Order: sequence, then structure tokens, then C-alpha cells
Amino acid sequence: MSAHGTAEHDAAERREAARALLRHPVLTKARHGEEFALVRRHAPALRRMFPAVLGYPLVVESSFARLVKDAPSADAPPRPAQRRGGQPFAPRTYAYLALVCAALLQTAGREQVLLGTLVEQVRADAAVAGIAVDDSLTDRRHLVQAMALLLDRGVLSETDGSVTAWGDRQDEALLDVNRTLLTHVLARPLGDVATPEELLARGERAVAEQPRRALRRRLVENPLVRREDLTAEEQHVLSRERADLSRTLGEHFGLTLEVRQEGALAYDVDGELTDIAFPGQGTVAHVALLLVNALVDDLDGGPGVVAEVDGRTVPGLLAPWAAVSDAVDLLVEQYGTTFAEAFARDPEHLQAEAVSRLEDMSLARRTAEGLVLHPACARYQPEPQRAPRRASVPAARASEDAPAETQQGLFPLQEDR
Amino acid sequence: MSAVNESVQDGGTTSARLDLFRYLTADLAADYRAIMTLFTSTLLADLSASEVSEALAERGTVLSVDDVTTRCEQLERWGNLVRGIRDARVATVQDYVRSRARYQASKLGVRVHREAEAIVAAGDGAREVARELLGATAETLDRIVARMTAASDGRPVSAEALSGDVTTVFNNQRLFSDSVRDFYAYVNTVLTRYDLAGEEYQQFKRLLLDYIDLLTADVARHAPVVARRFTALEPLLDDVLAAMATLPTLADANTERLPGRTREDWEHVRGWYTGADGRSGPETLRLAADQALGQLLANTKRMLASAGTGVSRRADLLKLASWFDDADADQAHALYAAAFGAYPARHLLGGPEEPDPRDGATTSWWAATPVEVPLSLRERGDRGARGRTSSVPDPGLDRVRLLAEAQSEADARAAAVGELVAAGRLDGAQVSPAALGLLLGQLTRLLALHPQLEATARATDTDLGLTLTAAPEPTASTTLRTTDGDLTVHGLVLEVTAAGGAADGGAASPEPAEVLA
Repeated sequence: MSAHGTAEHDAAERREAARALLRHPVLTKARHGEEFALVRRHAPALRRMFPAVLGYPLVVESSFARLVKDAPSADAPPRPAQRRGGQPFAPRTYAYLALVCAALLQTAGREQVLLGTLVEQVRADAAVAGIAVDDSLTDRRHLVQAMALLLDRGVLSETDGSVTAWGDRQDEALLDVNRTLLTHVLARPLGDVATPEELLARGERAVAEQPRRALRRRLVENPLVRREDLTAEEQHVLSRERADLSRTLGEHFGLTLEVRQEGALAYDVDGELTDIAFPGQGTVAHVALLLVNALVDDLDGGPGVVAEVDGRTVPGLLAPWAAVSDAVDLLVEQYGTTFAEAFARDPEHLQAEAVSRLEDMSLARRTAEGLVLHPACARYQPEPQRAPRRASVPAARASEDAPAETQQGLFPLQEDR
Repeated sequence: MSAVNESVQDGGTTSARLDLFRYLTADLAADYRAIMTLFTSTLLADLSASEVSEALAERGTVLSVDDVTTRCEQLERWGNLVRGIRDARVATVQDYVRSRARYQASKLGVRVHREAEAIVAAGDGAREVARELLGATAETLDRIVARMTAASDGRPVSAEALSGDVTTVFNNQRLFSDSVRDFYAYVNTVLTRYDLAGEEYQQFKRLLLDYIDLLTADVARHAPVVARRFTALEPLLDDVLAAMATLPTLADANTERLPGRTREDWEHVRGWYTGADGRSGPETLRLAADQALGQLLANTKRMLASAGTGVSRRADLLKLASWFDDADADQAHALYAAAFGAYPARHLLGGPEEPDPRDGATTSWWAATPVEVPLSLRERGDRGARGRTSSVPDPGLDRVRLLAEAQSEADARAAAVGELVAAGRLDGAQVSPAALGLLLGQLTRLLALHPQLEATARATDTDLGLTLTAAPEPTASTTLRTTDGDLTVHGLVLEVTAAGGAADGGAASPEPAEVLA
């Protein structure tokens, strides 16, 4: 196949395959047929590229491809597994996920398993692991949600009956198990890890050893890389090898590197390489964008504005909570008719969701005083505001030590603090 | 041979033979085995119960004479021991009774015990295959053929040496096929193991890959050679058998004869190499090797899928489950991302395809050019057209601009042409720099086409609508004045006329070289 395409066409296909893998680290033939075909076609090149560029091993089998990612860097926004409705997993759901996988391994060698048998095994394992489970409806829902993830990933498939039916009425179901994929569910063995803390710290250790790769990983996986989070070596790489970095990101993943005083990010011109779109469709994304616009517009952000997060002074603009909720209220008033009804009626819920969205995109961080907006929020300034903002640069520079004072005069809501 | 014997034995004899094995698994098997070991350790052991008791005590097994007597009687009933028949002349009643109770190991009892002990003592590992015997067999067969052909009426074949060689051939063959059978039996047992992993698995893989390969190669090399020797021996076989028959032997019909003394034995061995009776030995070996390797691959897959990593992964997952259960939501998310490593990449959207060069690494985001957000997203939170946010160029405006540029360029050129045409003979003319540039272009073209320029030459540019005439005249020169400076052309008279009808006699006189653009 590739023999017929031009080199350029091949490179484009490879890039598309690599992007598909970044989006879906578990890529199955059944669910992602086209992308999987691309991955298969370019498997040799991809198997070389991912370990070399990001240090991720890639497994390509006949029915699935698995990109084995490392733990995300500590500054990355949380990456929860999601229920089918889009809400993040609860700890209990995760526990069930692990228990179901363990139970599937217990029934070794068989390609099919009865759901009832599997659940019995899960309950037995839970008892051994010291997890108190019961047959309550809540518990069953957690179990069903965990299984739904495995069904979506292609580890399980429903041959007869369904997991949902079991959850509702305890109907028996027959499940097919993809054994090969099952062994790749965990990224790596945990035999040498004794505590959860060690597991979380392990990613950091690997990062510290290879600044180049670590920086590439952050840029490829995370929406925003704050300069203050980078190690000295990573800073060095970012300043000295920017052209190289930019070329690597573009060539392999189709990402464009944007480096600014306060940090760096890689954006996707095609608007696809992300699990959460921002700016994007839907009320929450819409409000999040408008909220950023409003806050940046109301409060006078500019180069050098700093705020305090977790005891660290970092570049950022503090928006007091009162200002945030005022802005949200105003947005509801102005745009409410276009919002989903539930949100239009409940501005507090809307605000919480919008703020979470901004946190998910690393654009903002919650503090006790208010929401600290990262300067990267200024990427989305409304066009008309651009000219005055450029002119106000020197004034803002002077205010570096006392951001609150400079904002005070412009912003009466500060009094609420 | 044994197969023949078995068929003539009635059922009762077979079950009596099977009784020979009872002592191995009966209660007090340890006692029985110790006694049998004692009887089989020397040739022609003929021991009384008390002697057995003493000898066992020396070896660390304490059994009273009565016990020994009971055991020996039991062994006798099973057929492992037989009563000693040595007729001892004794002095006392006691001695007489004792001497009556002397025992010897039976023929089959010795055999059973020997085999049983060998199996008990055998290691679990692979047994080496006697590969070297294949080459030796070929040589021995050669020797037999040589003996037979060297024999003549005068010098009969040496039957003793011949039968030695024959026994060697058959012994070798049995040892070889036994060891091969043992080896593959071992391979098979390992292949069915579920817990094979790590170092053990590596060793086994090497064993299979290297050793089986070696074995198959050896057999492939030697088997045809041996088969050819057998074929060469075929015409001599009757003589061989006849020669061996001359040797003194046991006359009883029930005697177990050494192998190679009958034609069937020979046919059987030859069949192993040539495949005369069904599948040949080498082929069977090859098939077995293929099957073992196939099974190894299947096992590797299965081990990866379940047993090998399964055990540890299961422990990992259970450990993880209890961590999850104890964690708060944030920690659980982090644990999930770290352990499963299956989170999707996340990126901010929006940005030009080519970054604005005015914004660099030292520019603050506050001051940099903002990205464009489609109006539909900003106003309504929905996205009409997914994808790029860069502005789409309007080709209409561009076309208007380009047309205007082209028009002004054409106008300027027309003005320059007008200047030159108006000047006519160019010497001493005052023209604009644009006109001079135009003239130089035309002159270059003309000179390129008429490098010698011996007669008057013309170059016509129909696009511009002008004709340049150059007449060589050594004494003359043409000078143009412009605000940029003067141009003097020596030895040429230059004249510009409007092309077409206005050209002075241009159409009428084709005599000068005409250049058309």
C-alpha cells in the first residue's frame, strides 16, 4: 500500500495514525476501523517513532493497537476515566475496574465468561482485597460502569445478553474476552511498587532523567506547559532546541508549538487532537470561553501580572470569586437563551462546570481567594480588545510586586475580598 | 520377540506377569524394594532370610528375620523371587529349615526391579539423545558388508565378530530410538505445563530451538546413509543370518534371542530408516519437532495471555483495587492515569497554521496576537464549521487588486513606448528612465539575435507595439539623456518606430532581418 503513495502522503498517513493513537491509546479494529488500518499499515515506523520521541512502547496486534503511556506529569490536569455519560469515575468505580480485570485473569485460558461467574469472582476478590462490597444498586452501577469501560475498550464484548441488563435485572450475560488485550490493560507491572505514592512518583522520576523527552511528552499530552513547572534542563531544551522541538511536534503529530514568556503549548490546527475541546461546542465550553474573555477584559491583565497559587507566586491574573460569579450572572443574562436549560436556571452549577473546564484545560486554577487565570487565557481575547492591551504593557510591568493594588482601582468588586 | 511371546501367553500368564509390579506400590513397598535391591545387586545372589536381614542391617534397614521371611514369601508369590534350589548338606534341623528358605531373584523380577529403580532414580530433565549412534551405525553396517564380501569359500566369515557387529547395530538402534522417545516425551510434558515462565522458559526455548534443530539435522544427514547401507546389505542378509546361526546358542524355543538374529528384526530396523512400513523414523522426528515448536509458540501466546503475566498482573490489579478504594477522587484519577496509561492527549484549540513571527518566546501571552475564535463559537457556543479557525482569503478582492496592478503596469509601459516612438531617431533624445529601461531590453534582444550586426537589423515587439531599428555605422553614436544619466551606444544608429502600419516601410521592405516577438 505505502509503496504506491508518495513520501508526503505516507508521512501524512503516519501522522494521522500517530494522532489517533494519542487520542485513543487503546485502539481497536472494531471501534476505530479506519484509524486502526492506518496504524497497522505504518506499524513499523510508529513502533520506532513512539519510543524514540516520547518513550512510549507501542503494541500492534491483529485486532488492536496499544500505546503504553507513562504517568502524566505532575502539572497535568487530572485525566479521569469517564463513564458513558461523561462524568468522571468514582474511586469505587476504579476499584471495580481493577477487580473485574483481575477476575478476568483468574478465569485464565477461556475466551468466554459468564457475567454471573465473573461477578462472583469479583466479589470473592474484593473480600480478599479487603474491599467491602454489597449487592446494592449503587454498587452494581459502579460495577456496570467499570465493565462499560472495558466494553468500550474492546477488552470485553457482549455475545449474548448485556451488562446493562444484568445491572438492572440481574439477567445473565455471556461475554467474550480479548485475552491478548486484557494483558495490556495495565501499562506495566506494579510488582515493584509498594504504595500508591510510589506509583505516582515513578512518572516523575522517569521525567527527570530525560529532559528532552519529558518536555516533548508534556507538550504532546498536556494542553499547557507552565514555564515555572519546567526543570532547568527542560527550560534549556525549550530555549535552545525550539526549532528542533517545533519540527518534531509538527512532523510526527501535526501540532504547532507556541512558546511564550509564561510557558509553552502545542495546539492542533485541525482541532481534533484532544479529548476536551476548548474553545468548543456546548454550554459549558461556551461559558468558559466567555468567562475568560469577560474576566480578562474586566480585570486588567498584562505582562508581568502575578498571583499566588499554593504559596508560589506565578504569572497569572487573580479573579476574585465575586467577580467570577458576577461575570457568570451577566453571561446568563446576555446569552442565557442559547444555554442548555439546566444551566440557564442554575448559574452556580454553570459556574462550577465552567471553572472545572478551565482547570481541565490548565488555563485556570482555583484558590481560596479566587480563580487564577493563566496568561495563556489571553490567547482567546476578543479581537477588539487587542489594540489597547498592547499599549498598556509598560504599566503592567511595574506592577509585578503588587498585582492586587493595580487591579483595585479598575475593579470595584475587589472590595468583596 | 516379546510381542510374539505375549500373543501366545494366555490371560492368566499376563496377570501373573503384572503381579511382578505389585511390590512397587504395595504397603511396605520400601521393605520390598530394599530386599529386591539386595537380590539384584550381585549375580547369582542366593540368600536366606537371616542373611538378608543381616545384609539389610548393614545398609541401614532393620528388619527381623521373621519379617524378612514374610516379605520374601510374599515376593515369591508375586513371582519376583524364587526358592533357592541349592541343596546344602547341613548338620542341624534348624540349619536345614533355614536352607530351605533360600531365595533368588527371578529372571523377570530382576528386570522389573532394574527398570523400576532406573525410573525412580531418573532426573526430571531432558535425556540427551544418543545422536552419535547414527554415524556409528553406518560404520558398523559398512563393517558387516566388508566382512561378508571378504568371506570366500576358503576363508569363512568370522561368525563371532559378525554377531558382535550385528548386536551393536541393534543395540545402538534401540538406544537411539529410546532416547529420542524419552526426549520428545520430556518436551511434551514441559509443553503442557502452565507455569513455565522466566528463566526456565528461556532455557526451554533454547533447548527446543537449538537441540531439536541439531537433532533433526543429524537425522536428516545420517538417515539416508544408513538406509543405503541397509539396501547394500539386503542381498547378503541371508548369508549373515546363516553365519550367525552357526554360533552355539540356547536351544529352547522360549529363549529370548538377541535382536538381529531374524529377518523380521532386520526388516523392522530398515523400515525405520526407509519408511517401508508406513512413516519413516526421520519423518516422524521432523513432524514431532514441528509439532513441538508449534506448541511452544501457542504456549508463549497463552502464557502472555494468561498464566505467565496473569499471575503477577492479577496480584497487581488486586493491589490497585484496594488502593483505589482507599483513595479520594483526585488521587484515584491520578492512580488510574499512572497505572493504566491510557489517557488521551489534550490540547487547546485555535491558532494560526503558521505562527505569527512577531510573537516570540519572550513575548507575553498578554501581549501576543490572540487566536481567532469562530464567531459562532463565541456567540452561540456552537460550531458551524469544525476545523481550522484561520481566515479564509477572499479571492475577489485579490483579483481586483491584481488587475489594478497589472493595469497600472501596462499604462506605464505604454507611456514609455510612446516616448520612444515620439523620439524616433534616438540620438540626443531626452527620455524617462522607464523608457530607457524599455529600450535597453529591446536592444539586448536585438543584439542577441544579430550578434554580428553587419547590416541594418530590426526587432519588433508586437506586445509593446514598437520596432527598433539598428543600423551599424562605425563613426556614429547614439546618446540618450535621462534623469538617471546618459546612455551612449557607439557605432549604431538607433531608431524606434511604432510597430504595424505606422512602421516606416517595415512591411514593404523585408530585406532587413525581421525579429518578431
